[in-house]
Amino acid sequence: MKRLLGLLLLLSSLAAARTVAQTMQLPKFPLPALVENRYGDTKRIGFLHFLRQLQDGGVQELDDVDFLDENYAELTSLSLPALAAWLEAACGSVGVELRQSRLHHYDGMAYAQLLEVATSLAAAREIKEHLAMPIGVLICRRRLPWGDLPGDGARDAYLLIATERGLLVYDPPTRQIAPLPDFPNSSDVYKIQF
Amino acid sequence: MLSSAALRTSCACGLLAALTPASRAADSAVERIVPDVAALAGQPLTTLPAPPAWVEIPPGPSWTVAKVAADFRAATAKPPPITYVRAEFIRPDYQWFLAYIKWFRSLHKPLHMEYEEDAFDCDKYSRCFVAFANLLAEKSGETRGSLCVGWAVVFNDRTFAGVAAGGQHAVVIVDTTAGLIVVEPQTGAIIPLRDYPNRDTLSAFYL
Repeated sequence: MKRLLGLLLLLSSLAAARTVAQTMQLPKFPLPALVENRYGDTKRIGFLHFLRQLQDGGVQELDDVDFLDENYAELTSLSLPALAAWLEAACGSVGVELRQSRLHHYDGMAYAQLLEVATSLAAAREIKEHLAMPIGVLICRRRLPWGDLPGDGARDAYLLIATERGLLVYDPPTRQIAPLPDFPNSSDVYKIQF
Repeated sequence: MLSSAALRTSCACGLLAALTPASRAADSAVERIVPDVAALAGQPLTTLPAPPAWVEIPPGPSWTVAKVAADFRAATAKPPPITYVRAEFIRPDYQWFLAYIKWFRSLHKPLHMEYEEDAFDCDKYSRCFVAFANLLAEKSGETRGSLCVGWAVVFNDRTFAGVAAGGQHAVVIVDTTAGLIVVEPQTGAIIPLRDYPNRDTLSAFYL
């Protein structure tokens, strides 16, 4: 009887292990800290806020800016190190070393989408946030070098994040970040989408 | 949370990013985020159902934006402008893609995907669909490029897949080995682009 129970336990643990092996695991979706207004509610920003900051940041073609939502939250810049850690860990969990990804066909739009949906799901699920997360994508021509990235004229994409410090441009593989007015290629934008 | 060392090296403008010593030596003007790995420690993992087995794409020429545009022109008289970063893509196998749609539907419960205006609406569903498709391709070791999976903004001139006519909407469009397919990611409904009732009112396609 004991031998039979032992065998059953072994079979069930093997089945459980097989199930775990077949599933896919990601780090817990990241909940960003949101900027609050003077009444303690989540600060709400709209497209006029974005357009003003884009203009101040040197983006010339505002016709190439798309907004999919009406109202957005604003992230605290203190959130960004945690979001960066999540993105690298999520990629690591599927075997991708994000910091090496520019060795292949890196597509920044894919990573912007991943981070945006992950934070959106976390915010909607954990704090019932009803505003859209202000994580967009900026596609531009690399006319001028930016840190590790050459000014080779190639098309590239970065995350564009609205924070209390303004719009920040973030490149996950190099971990480079810059306020939009300091980003060297803000006048060579093909498309911005939030 | 940034370490005190990281804070000490943060830039004069006060941006909470930190420079590593190596990067400072290389370029003093560039700031870098120090990922807060500690924030992930002890957090439970998000477990998703087993994804469909990847179907290898045979080596050969990549699919290009020009070919996608040609496929659009063949299906609609009013093809949308295409926004892209990379000009070359991998077309997913059609059978894998069907399995992927089913898998994506199975994520709704564990990820608590529920429609909510702005917070998680049609464009989030679409981007979520695209993001996970690319994640699975990367998981399979596909490094030749992103999948030829994008999402589109459409004026919903006619009812499709339970989404009533009228107003702007977002759907997924995929160039598979069987051609361009439109997916309603909220329901999993699919239709070839040439038969999609709103194929002439697509206003943007993000690939």
